[in-house]
Amino acid sequence: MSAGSQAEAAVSTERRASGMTFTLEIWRQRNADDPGRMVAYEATRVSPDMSFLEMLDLLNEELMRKGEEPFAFDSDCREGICGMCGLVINGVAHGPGTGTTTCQLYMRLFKNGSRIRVEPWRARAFPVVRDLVVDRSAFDRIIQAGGYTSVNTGSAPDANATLISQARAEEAMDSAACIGCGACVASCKNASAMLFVAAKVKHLGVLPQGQPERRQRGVTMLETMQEEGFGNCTNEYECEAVCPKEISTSNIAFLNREYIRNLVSLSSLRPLVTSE
Amino acid sequence: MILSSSIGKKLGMALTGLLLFGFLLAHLSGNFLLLKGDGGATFNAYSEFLVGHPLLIPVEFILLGIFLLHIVLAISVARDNRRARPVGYRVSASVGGRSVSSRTMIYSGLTTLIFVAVHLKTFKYADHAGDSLYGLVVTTFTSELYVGGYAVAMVLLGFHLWHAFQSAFQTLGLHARPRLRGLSIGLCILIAGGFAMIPLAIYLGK
Repeated sequence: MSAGSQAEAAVSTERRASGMTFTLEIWRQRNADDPGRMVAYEATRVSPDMSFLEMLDLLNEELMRKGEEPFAFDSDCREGICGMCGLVINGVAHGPGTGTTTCQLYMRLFKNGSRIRVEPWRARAFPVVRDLVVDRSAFDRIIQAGGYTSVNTGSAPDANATLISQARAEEAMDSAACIGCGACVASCKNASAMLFVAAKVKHLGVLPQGQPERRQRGVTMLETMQEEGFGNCTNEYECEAVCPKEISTSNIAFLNREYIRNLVSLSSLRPLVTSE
Repeated sequence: MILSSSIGKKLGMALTGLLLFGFLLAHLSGNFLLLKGDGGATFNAYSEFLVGHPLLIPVEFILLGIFLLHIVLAISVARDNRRARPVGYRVSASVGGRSVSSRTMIYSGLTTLIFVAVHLKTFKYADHAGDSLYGLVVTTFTSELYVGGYAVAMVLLGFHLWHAFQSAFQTLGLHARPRLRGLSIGLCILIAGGFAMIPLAIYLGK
């Protein structure tokens, strides 16, 4: 290889390595009492194949190298199934991808050199712990209020002892796909948790195992939702648009039907679903 | 108790809203009599029939109750929703079904309330001893200000109904969006357009 072409190769390698550059505005807040503010950072040498969280890791390492304090954000599995990560990126929960969590969002979706604003989920029920981390334990308390089934402990049941049609199983699975990340709350203009509650109520409500508590489930989970300070649903369907699991607002219609059925049913003993 | 729960409030809003929708359709069909071109004979006969009907007063009270319940629940829902996010976003974007109509429901609703007050004062509780209701309507709609204000109010009402109709069905548990959306848009154009067209026709045909 001639000296000239060697130099050319070195330049193009350097260009590849130099990667993308972004101006990030990140929400910094020391604790729940701190009013917080947006702080601008430059992220350089970002590979287009990095996930959004990897890009944030890179920026944090850079901050640490400079002796500055890194910013806090949540993540766990980083493969889109745990529901731990969640950032509002340029005003959209989980950013510009469809049906993806923040960890599955790749930097190639962003325009090189653009400005990216990163904020935590905003809701009274999700107080900011620090920087981009919010406390989502309100969701746990909603689950405790009714998102469970009573089962007899002991040996495992026989595989086919409870018959469930394929269609019914699929329907339940569509709702069970909810990972409880809270994007529905973050995107709702009313910070309502209705899609989350509805997914849980439908997931359990369409299966035979969920029948014993079915009558109370919607009511108790909704009461807890209100007590935790979430808002009311006004049917604007922002939640389903950002949901990484693409949970449909038809779940909310199901929850509404459950509520109406509860109101109009005369006998509290009448089963709501007969066996298949 | 029902009306303090999140879905209960929404159900109350949906049911009262649909009843008010029904009222609007009935009112509009009555108003179309103004355009019959018989010098108001049919319209006046219709109005006298209503005024003389023994059930008018009870029905008016029921209608007032429905209207007030709708407003009280709307304010309650809006207040809860405002409290649910004390700190807003620096940047927010809509990627779902939010529209100008859906985000301004409380305002379009409140302007409709003001319109209703003015409207009742102008027609229902006006002193028109020497004139028929038709005569009063025709005289009122010679004013550009009134015709213009009426049209603006109807456009805002149309915006309100645009979101309201399909939203009411979702709240009642019927999730059939594309079809309902089409029906919702058709009905709100019919109602808002129909109401706004009548004063315009009277004004232009004077």
